[in-house]
Amino acid sequence: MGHKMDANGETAALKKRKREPKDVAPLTPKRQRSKSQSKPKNGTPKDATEPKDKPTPASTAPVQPAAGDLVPTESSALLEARESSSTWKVSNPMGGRMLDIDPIFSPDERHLVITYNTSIQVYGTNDSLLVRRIPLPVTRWESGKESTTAYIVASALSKTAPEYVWVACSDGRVWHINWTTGEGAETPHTIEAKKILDMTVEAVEFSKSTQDVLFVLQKLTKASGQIVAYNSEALSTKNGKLVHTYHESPQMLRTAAGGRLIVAAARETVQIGLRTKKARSFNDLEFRFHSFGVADLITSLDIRALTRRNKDGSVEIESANLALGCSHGAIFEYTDILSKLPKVGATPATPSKAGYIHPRKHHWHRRAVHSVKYSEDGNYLVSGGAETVLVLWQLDTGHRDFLPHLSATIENIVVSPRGSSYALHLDDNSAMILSTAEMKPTMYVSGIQSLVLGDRHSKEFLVRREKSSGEISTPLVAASNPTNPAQIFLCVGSGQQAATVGDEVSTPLLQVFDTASFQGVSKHAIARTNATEANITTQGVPIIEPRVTKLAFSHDGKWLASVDEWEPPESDVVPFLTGSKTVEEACRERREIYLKFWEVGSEDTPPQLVSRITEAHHTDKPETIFDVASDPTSSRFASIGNDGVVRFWTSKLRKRDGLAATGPEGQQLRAWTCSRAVALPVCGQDDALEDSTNEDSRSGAIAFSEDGSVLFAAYGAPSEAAVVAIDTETGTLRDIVSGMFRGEVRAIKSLGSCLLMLSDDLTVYDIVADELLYSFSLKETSEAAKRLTQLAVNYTSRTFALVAPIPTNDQRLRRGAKSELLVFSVEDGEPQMVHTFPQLITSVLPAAGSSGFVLVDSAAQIWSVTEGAEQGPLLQPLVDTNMDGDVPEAEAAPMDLAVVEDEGDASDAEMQDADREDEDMEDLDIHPAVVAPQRLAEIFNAAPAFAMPPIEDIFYQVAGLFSAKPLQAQN
Amino acid sequence: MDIHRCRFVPCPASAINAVAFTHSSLPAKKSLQKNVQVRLAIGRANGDIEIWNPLNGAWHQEVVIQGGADRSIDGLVWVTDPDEEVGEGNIIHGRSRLFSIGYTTTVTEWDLEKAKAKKHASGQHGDIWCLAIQPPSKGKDTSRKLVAGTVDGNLVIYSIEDDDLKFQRTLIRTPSKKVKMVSICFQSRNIVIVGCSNSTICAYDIRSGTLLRTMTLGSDLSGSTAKNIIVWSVKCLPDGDIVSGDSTGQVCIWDGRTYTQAQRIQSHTQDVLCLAVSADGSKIVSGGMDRRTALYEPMAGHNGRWSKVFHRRYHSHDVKAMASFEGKGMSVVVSGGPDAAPVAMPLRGAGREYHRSLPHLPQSTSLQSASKARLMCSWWGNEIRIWHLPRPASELMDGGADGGAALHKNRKLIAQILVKGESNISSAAISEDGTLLVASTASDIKAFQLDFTDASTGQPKITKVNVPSSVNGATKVEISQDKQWVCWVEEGSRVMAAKVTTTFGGAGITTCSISQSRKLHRVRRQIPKYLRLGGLGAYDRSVTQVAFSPDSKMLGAADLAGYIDTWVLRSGSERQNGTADDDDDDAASLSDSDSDSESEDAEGAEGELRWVRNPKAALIPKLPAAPVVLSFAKQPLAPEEEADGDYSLLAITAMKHVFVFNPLQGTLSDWSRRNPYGKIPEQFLITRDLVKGVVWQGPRAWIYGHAFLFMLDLSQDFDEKKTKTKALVKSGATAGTKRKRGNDGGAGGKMDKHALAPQNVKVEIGGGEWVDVEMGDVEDDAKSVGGAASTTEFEDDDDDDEDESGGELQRLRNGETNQGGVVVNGGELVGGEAVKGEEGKKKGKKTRPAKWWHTYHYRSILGIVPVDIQTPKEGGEESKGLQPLEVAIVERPTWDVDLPPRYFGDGEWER
Repeated sequence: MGHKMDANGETAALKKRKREPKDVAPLTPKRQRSKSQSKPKNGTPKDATEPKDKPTPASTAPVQPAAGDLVPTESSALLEARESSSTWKVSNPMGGRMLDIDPIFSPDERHLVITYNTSIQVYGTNDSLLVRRIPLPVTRWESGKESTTAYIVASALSKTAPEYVWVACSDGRVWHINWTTGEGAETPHTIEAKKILDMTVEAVEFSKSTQDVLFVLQKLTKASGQIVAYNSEALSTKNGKLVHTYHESPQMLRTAAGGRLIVAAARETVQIGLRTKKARSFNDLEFRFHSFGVADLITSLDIRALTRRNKDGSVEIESANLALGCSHGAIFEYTDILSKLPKVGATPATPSKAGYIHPRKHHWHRRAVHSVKYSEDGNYLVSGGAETVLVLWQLDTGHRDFLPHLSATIENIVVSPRGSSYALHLDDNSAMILSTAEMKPTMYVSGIQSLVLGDRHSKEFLVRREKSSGEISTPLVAASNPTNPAQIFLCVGSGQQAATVGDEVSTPLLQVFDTASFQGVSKHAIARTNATEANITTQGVPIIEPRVTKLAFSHDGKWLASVDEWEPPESDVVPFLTGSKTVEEACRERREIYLKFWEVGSEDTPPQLVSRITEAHHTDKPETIFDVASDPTSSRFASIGNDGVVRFWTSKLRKRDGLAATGPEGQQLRAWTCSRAVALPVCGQDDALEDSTNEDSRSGAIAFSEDGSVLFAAYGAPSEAAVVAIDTETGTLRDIVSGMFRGEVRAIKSLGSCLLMLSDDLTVYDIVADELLYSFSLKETSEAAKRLTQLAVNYTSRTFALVAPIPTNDQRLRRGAKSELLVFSVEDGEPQMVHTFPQLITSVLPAAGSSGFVLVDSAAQIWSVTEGAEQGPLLQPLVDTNMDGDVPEAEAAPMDLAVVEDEGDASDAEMQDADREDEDMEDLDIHPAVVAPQRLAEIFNAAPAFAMPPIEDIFYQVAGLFSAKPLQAQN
Repeated sequence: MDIHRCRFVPCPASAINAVAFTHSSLPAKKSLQKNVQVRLAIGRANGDIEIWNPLNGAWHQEVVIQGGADRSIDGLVWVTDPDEEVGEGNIIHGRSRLFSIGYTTTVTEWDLEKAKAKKHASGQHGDIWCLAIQPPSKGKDTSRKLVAGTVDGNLVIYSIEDDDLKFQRTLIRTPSKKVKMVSICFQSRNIVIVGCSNSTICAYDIRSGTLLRTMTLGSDLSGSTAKNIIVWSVKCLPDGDIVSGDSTGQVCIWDGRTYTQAQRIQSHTQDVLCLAVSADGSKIVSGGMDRRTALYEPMAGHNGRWSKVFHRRYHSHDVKAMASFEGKGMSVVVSGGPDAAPVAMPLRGAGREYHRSLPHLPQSTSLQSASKARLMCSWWGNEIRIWHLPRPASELMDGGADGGAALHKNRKLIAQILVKGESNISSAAISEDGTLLVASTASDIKAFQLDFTDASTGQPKITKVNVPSSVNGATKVEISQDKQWVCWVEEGSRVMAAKVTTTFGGAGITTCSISQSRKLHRVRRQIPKYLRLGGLGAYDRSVTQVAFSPDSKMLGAADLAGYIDTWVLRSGSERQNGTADDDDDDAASLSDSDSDSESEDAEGAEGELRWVRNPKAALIPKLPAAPVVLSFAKQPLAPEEEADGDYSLLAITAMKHVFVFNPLQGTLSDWSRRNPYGKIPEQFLITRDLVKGVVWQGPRAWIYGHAFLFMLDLSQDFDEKKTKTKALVKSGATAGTKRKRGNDGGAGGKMDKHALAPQNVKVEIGGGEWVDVEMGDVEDDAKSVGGAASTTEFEDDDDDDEDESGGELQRLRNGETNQGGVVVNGGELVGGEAVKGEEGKKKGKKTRPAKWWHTYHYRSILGIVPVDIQTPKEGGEESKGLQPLEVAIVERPTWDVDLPPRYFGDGEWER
């Protein structure tokens, strides 16, 4: 719990709007005036609605001029007291983002070790289950201040003790972790280095023993680096052996053949180091380095070295092949490169001539090759990149095989030790294992997919393409399922890196994420997708898919409403420009905005599209839908659009020829239609002058009151928006409150008798008492920051949470941006909790059925904020309990496998026929093989009765799988 | 200079169907390579055969044998006999004979000396689709046969013994008539490999006519309609392995002993149409319908396995034919296709050197102008077009508002002449006043009179002019400036001249007639017998350049070997006895026609003007390389010449030597002595395209090539190189006298960036220090002891060439310099590259005209011709009086070349 509000009522992101007389003076009268102005004005054109307004008690209550006298006594002592009494707790972050580091196979191929941004996670390859999560304290706190720059750069399996992994962090810490027990996470070694860039591990034979030697690529200056070797002794004495000093900006380091061969890449240069003599001891390691230029920027490299054992027992490299993936898509393959390197001449200064080093050029990729690997037998190259296609190059015949339409950019490819499978890490925070024989997935792990800000530059950006700022400027649209609080529905795109996605975020997919098992359950397309490997135009502009802007569940969790929006890129509408139309206007005319209603089935079935409303709000062109709200008491939605109309949507039985239509199983089909449209009075415009700029800058939001009887709709031009209370039964306007917004309307929520209004200010207003309770103003007011300021209301605890980015010097929300969370109870103007998060919070949700909140940040982590009084069973990281018994290993019985694979096969079949015509990416992304909690049988059938694990373990497993459900029952 | 930029003149390019080198490789020993005449023949769809001289990468298109109606060349085979050693270390290089097929039943042999077909032969079989020559034997039996595969599945033998060509017998008859024999090559002397259209490759023994083995490819599974795979190309590697390219886009390697498939490489997306292999069998190149040219190399560490190294798209259309050549410091593959431009691709230096696209336009400009009449005349095929450019450029530029419109209107097609007959126009000439037009074909010469007196229609009245019937075709025609003489080249090397008589009839009507022609005797040159008999024989005596002096009293002609002959016009009485008949060197032979002309000579009437050999003609030395330009300056270049009444004859060679001769004295001009090769502007020398022609503006020569326009002021001396070119060329640009070509293999230069092969190979020698390492073939190292790189080999080649011919020049030059001396006036050193204006500013005090200037602004220049010669105006550009010059530049850009629609490529990204 880092920060709290200081004595001035300021936090990092918010500033209390003071109620001192001089400040109140301009505010209160203004509100008064606007109120008084709006009334007579409204009186003229809307006589019909006005009288109905009057009788409602809320509107008749006069505005209290003393709104500003609610001045809390702000002494720091009081704040301290409140803080200590505060019961809110922030959990440890969960989940996280798989890093661009090759996953590690255990030597027996039964486990896959994946490096996350703050942890190492071990998964079983047979069942995709998380075996162990080893958190790493990557973020270090130094004298109360965190050093956020540290991140994990490399991890490698120990070559001498395969139960250990070495993990290197950019700030010089190196962990030696036993991944079967989790030991070692707390005791890192430290290397004196400015910055670690890469690390590899080799088992080097010395005369006495074979030891793990770490080759660490360190940054020296901005454009130079060093390769330093360490063994465990050197690590403890911090006294590594300097192998080589680089005079370029190095990137990558690979080693092979027991440390006899080092290959390092820096932009357009490759340096190959050959060990010159047999190493008797660690200090004997000496290398002779060769360097040559490559025609392109190197983004990935792989080396395949064959060794042979001489008669005298010494081992030497027979041949080595090198494959380089480059930023423009070419793969250069150098076969038998060592034979062509210059030999040692008579004197060191006169080496012999080098043979012509002719690489073979394999060029299929259009963009950077993110990963390239040799197959185990060396007959194939396997490569992948942003085309989302796994390419298999048969080197002998020149034949290419493709596995197209994977869900996202392929970041890493690893060939398993036996060569029987490939592990892929995709940019949508997922990893899978494919069998090489059938190209079928045998394991799939999917983490939460949200836009993330990477620690390192993406490989795509070595080539200048269309401009992308690499900031997160739109919040993550998410909703939690009211009937299954463990499930979060997130609107995601095909990638995860904010930098690669660009400014025009397209989020056509809906990821269902189960926080209980901490796995992505499924991914469905809920808007149009364009699945193609050519996901970039010839000009280098990414193809833009629709963006889901709103998501709302009905109160019973059966229905889901979504709004998606698509606008053609400006360059595409130029041919349509006629007359005096501007590009923007032409784009707006061609916008596609859909309101869709989905029926949410059980966990395994994707949501079914029930109704699609084209142009739910429109004037002469489709208009933006500002907000969709669901009625907390009945299956009803309301929407507000830029046309100034609030529409209510209800479902009715679908009829065909006068008879109720039924589905294939005889269930009744329903359709959603607009049941009522209420035009809102235009406020704040004294002279009914409507100029177009005004029209475009309008904003709005809606919220149902808790009992569902009133809908509050805020709508209008910036700073002139008024809140209208609409009777949901009759559709009449009951009240109008104006002057509550400064700038655009961002959100409106209703909690009890209070209205929470978010614009550039956060205003809490008691509608019954017609009283302004308190208000805050945002410090950071850049557009992106305003969009990322979000409000969530938890009806259980009667609290609401506000997240806002903390202002930085850099106006953009890039890496390093932080957010602040404030939790308020509605009555109290003082936040019950103020917490700063090290990452940008992209979404905040009320925890369904409990009193807390759930936050998603820009590192794909989930934080839960709970009120301390409650036990926080929500989002219990079940994996911890799972881990103890090591049960998943026991589960690897063949019988059990069959069950899992049956599930897998369904999706495999779809994967296999991944033809070009294959339209929907969602097919690929259904991986129910990910454990579904109801599959008790898997636990109980794991082994014959006599071989069952201890009963305690089984209990934990079962309890683990179900612990979310009882919770729901309680509530 | 005012320029009319003309792109409206059509010059249709014809597809390349066949390419062939006389030699695929030369022995490594330099002495054996020295006098080998290597030529490249390119056959086109319109029946043209072009003979190119690779010339260390200069790629000189020497001769075009014109095709004719309904003819096409679809296959070319050179038959080059093995070399023969005679005494004194001299070698008679094997004669090279050229045979062609054209999808008919006929095989044609070509006579390169006379630039026409020599012999046709055909037999009772279907159309011939492929042709190959039996390799020479090492034993006694030296006879070689041509083996042809036909469309109806027959394998037939033609005998070429005794300089003859005749059908011998049908070797194989395939039972099924449906099998087409598409490609052929010899695996050994007696085993021929034939690629067929029914998914098979067959190996036959031609001694017994038995089928040794059939190699099958299976059926086409790629989804095309045809089930059968067509083997478009087969080639054999030196070790006997067979390479085939087929319609599935695969290149297959077959074991040469077992005739079994060893490897299949899917490298093209469409049909593989052609293949080439390097002489040592270490590289394979394939070209296909997907426009790719792909290179293969053996996989390191995998014995006998190949893999594709890279592919590129050098051509804008199918790659249809290719041939490789290694030797004389070159290592290239030349490929061609429907886009008409041959591409030279480095073979040994693939991945390190650039490719080079050779011009698709003919080297000899098919464009002439009648500058006094503002007419421009161009020809191709059997068609001549005459354009009129009515308004001068200066008028158009000053025209103001309507300038743009007028620019487009400023052309008029006034005449279009179709020449009857089978063969195409080889050359044409128009007189300066535009009234006489002479065109030559392989069979005759036609002359036309253009009458502009009737101005009402704007179209001239065209009447035919009688040409003596004894004329039977010419390769080059020229009309003298005063329209008194016509000169042409018969049978490649016989220079003929005829008088044009113009009679003025009544009412302003003039009629022209061409009198009986006379042969002009050339100087006999001492050519060693061993050279004359070997190689291409007297082919290099073919006269390619003919020029009249401005006063029409001197005629110059130059042949491919570099010999220049000059004749002067004398009245009959002045006949000089010095030109004894035994000096005559009729390159072809001392045939009976000689005596005919002699008798005519004798008949020459007293007082009649006639051409006699310039007494000093033999003094003009042989040029070091084939001349590409021979032109008399319009006015004397130097005052002393003016005094002597001598001419200035400019000769530029394919290697960009620039010489100015004073032909009456038979010497190099003073300017030429002062400005040897090394002082010619570097920029001019490093420009790779050949010079095509020259346009004179006083002492300024506007020299143009396919993509450049240079101005050299031949009245001023160039500066020493040291003073001007520092950054121009990185390597080898010292003040040497020799043009140093980089260490490239005859295609483009070295790649500096984006080369496939690594750059900057370095080794750390300890202590963080790095040494650069040169890359080279390991084999090369072994050969060249003492680290003699191939660069030096190049220079040696140059040396050799110049020792022989340039030595003569050198002597001449040295002798004279002692008297005249090379005077470089230090005070007048001028930055030679500077463009006029800049230079003026720099110097400030005194503006001197630029010595040279260049532009690459114009691309694919067909030709540049003067369209207006005006009387010198006072106060012109210079006080000295540079006349204004108005020229028309005719461009035929590559994107304007009409290509047939692509078979494949729809929906592809065009870049």
